Amino acid sequence: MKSSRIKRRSFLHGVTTVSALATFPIAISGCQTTPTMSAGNTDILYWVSINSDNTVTFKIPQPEIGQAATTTVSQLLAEELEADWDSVRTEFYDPNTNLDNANVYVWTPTLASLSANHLFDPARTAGAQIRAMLISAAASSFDCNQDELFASRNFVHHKSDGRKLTYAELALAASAMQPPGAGQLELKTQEDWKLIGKSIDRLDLKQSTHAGIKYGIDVEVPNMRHAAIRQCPVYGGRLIKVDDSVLNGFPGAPKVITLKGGHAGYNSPVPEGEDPDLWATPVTTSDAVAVVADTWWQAKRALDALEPQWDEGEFKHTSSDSLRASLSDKLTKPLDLSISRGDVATAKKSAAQVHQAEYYYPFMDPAPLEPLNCTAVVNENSAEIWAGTQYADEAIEVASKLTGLPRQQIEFHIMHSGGGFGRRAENDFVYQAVQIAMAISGTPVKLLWTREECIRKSFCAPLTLVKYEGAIDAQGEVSAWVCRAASGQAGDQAYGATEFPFHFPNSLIEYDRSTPSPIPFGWMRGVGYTQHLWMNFGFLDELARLAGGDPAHMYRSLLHESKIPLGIESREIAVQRVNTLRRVLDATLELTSWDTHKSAEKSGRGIAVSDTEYYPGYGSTSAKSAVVDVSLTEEHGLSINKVFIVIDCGTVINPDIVVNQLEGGVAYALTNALYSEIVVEQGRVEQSNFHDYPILKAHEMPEVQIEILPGTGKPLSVGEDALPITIAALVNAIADAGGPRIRSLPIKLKQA
Amino acid sequence: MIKLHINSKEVSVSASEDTPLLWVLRDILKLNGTKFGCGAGLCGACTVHIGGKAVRSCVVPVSAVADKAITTIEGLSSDGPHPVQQAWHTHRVSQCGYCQPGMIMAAAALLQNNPQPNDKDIDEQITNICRCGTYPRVRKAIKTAAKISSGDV
Ligand code: FES
Ligand code: FES
Repeated sequence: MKSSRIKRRSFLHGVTTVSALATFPIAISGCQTTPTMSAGNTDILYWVSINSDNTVTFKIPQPEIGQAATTTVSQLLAEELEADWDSVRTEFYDPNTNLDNANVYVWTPTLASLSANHLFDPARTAGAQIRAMLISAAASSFDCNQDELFASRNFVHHKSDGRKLTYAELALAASAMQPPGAGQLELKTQEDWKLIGKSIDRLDLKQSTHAGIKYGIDVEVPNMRHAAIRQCPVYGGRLIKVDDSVLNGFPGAPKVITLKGGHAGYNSPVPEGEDPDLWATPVTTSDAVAVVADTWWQAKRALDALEPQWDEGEFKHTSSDSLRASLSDKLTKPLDLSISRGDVATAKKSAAQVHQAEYYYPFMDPAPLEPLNCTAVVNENSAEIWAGTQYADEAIEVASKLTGLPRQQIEFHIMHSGGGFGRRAENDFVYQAVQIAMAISGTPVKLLWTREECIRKSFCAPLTLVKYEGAIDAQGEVSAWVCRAASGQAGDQAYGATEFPFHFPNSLIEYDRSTPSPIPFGWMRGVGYTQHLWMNFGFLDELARLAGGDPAHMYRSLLHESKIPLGIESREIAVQRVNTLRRVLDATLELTSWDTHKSAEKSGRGIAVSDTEYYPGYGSTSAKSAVVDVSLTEEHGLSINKVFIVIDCGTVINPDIVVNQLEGGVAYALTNALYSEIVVEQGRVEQSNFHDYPILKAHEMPEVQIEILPGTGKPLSVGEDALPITIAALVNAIADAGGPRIRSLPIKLKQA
Repeated sequence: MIKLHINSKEVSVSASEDTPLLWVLRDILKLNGTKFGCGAGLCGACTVHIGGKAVRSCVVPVSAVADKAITTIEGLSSDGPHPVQQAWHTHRVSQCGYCQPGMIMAAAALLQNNPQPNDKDIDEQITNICRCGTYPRVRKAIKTAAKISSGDV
């Protein structure tokens, strides 16, 4: 195998290194920890606070964007702490605590569907350590051996004499105990789990039905003012001037503040000592004009009256079409990353059929429902920030750089997010709110973007063009596979092309992401797999149909050890991978009665199976499949009738949350497939709100049936996982129904 | 000053007449349960009841509702959870939760005017956006809420 990898890195290699910084079990160097107490509540090992009323408060090591980490991480902690579930309270972690203590929360960004996987051991270990500290405090109080004691529902009991103490009574003494090390800890085994594996209600369920969840947009601070913002409509543009005299007499005492565009940190973690521009994507903002007023509506009305003049910069003549043309041009030459195996040219010569096709993915905005917002107050020696962000550790660094204040003088409050889907991995809105707060130092201000601003100034999934070529030999087998992908400037998403789980005897896979893009890159739910998997499966389905076979059975025969070339790097991992996927595929064929199912006329069925591995051996993604049933009708165009999802996601912490995430993932996938397209014309985004950037609605939602296969080992990814497979199965279902071959999203068919 | 009847209380607010009701509720009255999603009547996050009907408060100027009875999520039920809220709980509908107040208000209005809605009624009346895709549970929960209201559960 030849391969050239220039600047080829996976951001997740980096992530693994970063998480490794935290040492578990938590070791407190030197002597004892200094107990932190507030109002009689005691913090122990950063993860838990035992409250004076004998309830417990868990520090949730991740922002909540709907993925339910608040609940699942609490299940892990409570399981080992032997906490009474009804006594569990939660609050989000403090980014300074994490940054000052060697990443003690291990995996703090809400990124890459990793919370359950990365926090499974740390959260249980922290719970077990704190339980052990409580027990050892009780042992000294009772003057007995620890093995005479046990913990249950916020009490430590003596096994035989009935004495007991509450966690609250023990907390202070426990916090001064040396936490047990690795050798002294024994985590519970699965048979003893009382909380893990149970469909417990989300901790915020009741609040969710009573409007009790406080999102960033709901922050209220005394004397707070409100800001509305408009950025240069063309990415990277500069402000020439803005005349604020037109605001004379406007209500709400509007004040114009101009903001310089700049570098608002990165959108994913970077290991220490590494070049961030290779490992992550810099978040850069355009110049902007903000108006601060007494209410947001007043600020917005005033902003609407301004006519800022912009220098629109280098992208003012760029469009989606011109970027596509540049990518097409790029694809005429060898690309940056190139991996070839065997001899494609010879395979083509001896082929029975050779087939080519071009696939296209437009820019897409993740579009969480809560518009971007951030509240900030900057004083001379301190600052306070409230924001729903997916990456709070970076947000506080961004604020520290801007204000020149040491991080420790900034208090950061993570707020619930009304969705994220990758968009809140960029802290551009925090950067802007802090700039505004600096301009009106001492006065708190809540910056809120309009929906129009959110859609026009998003960080998008990259516009991507892929050229495929395939050869089919006389036996009807795919003898050559060529996949050459180019996108606008983006984070490294090469894995979408390179990690397709199927192997072919001769192949060429190329990838390039260097072409300047008029929209900055952002991670979007499902990342590179969402862009590439449906294309890969689409083209493979094209080949299967040309060869005259059943696609599912072609996939099945390809998912076999014998198809994996000898001598490839990490062959064992590849073998294990195809075996897992084959098992999931078999379960899917059975669940959907694939072999006996007959679609009605003008109806069809598509299937896809994959994990979402970023590199061989990455190991934290689930194996899953989708089957989609569609029908095509004169009247409605396309109807999506049913979606099946089968998943092996390792140990399941909360089955109902897995199901909810997958159902939601199907809806999100269908929006991508049917509607989402951000079009750039003259450097500007043409879309502006949900009328021209529509989101799937209830009447379009098909029935979804989900089967969770029994899994073992650490929990694996779930949040993003329904996306790539659902889109892939959908495009192939349309072909199966006799509809057009979909090679470009969104699907332009009439929708039922 | 504009007089409003909100959640069975009378309040006076000072706001320009064209201020959308949504911003009066949120920024002046601090009734933050009603959410902002699009500001253009497209998503339903801001749904309240006016005269018993579901209305998107981001496109209603405050001056137009001065003499009407307005109910927000905070005033949906004065005696324990509303059947819709109970059903939402049973089906564990929420993900991020942001659309949920608007969705619940839309569902409650639907049931008030049509106590036994079928799938088609739900399709036509529930046009709120849930970006997290809780739609399958929304549908089930509306049917359960109908049963709770009619004393079937
Ligand atoms: S905010 Fe009113 S409909 Fe979207
Ligand atoms: S639950 Fe997140 S938008 Fe509906």
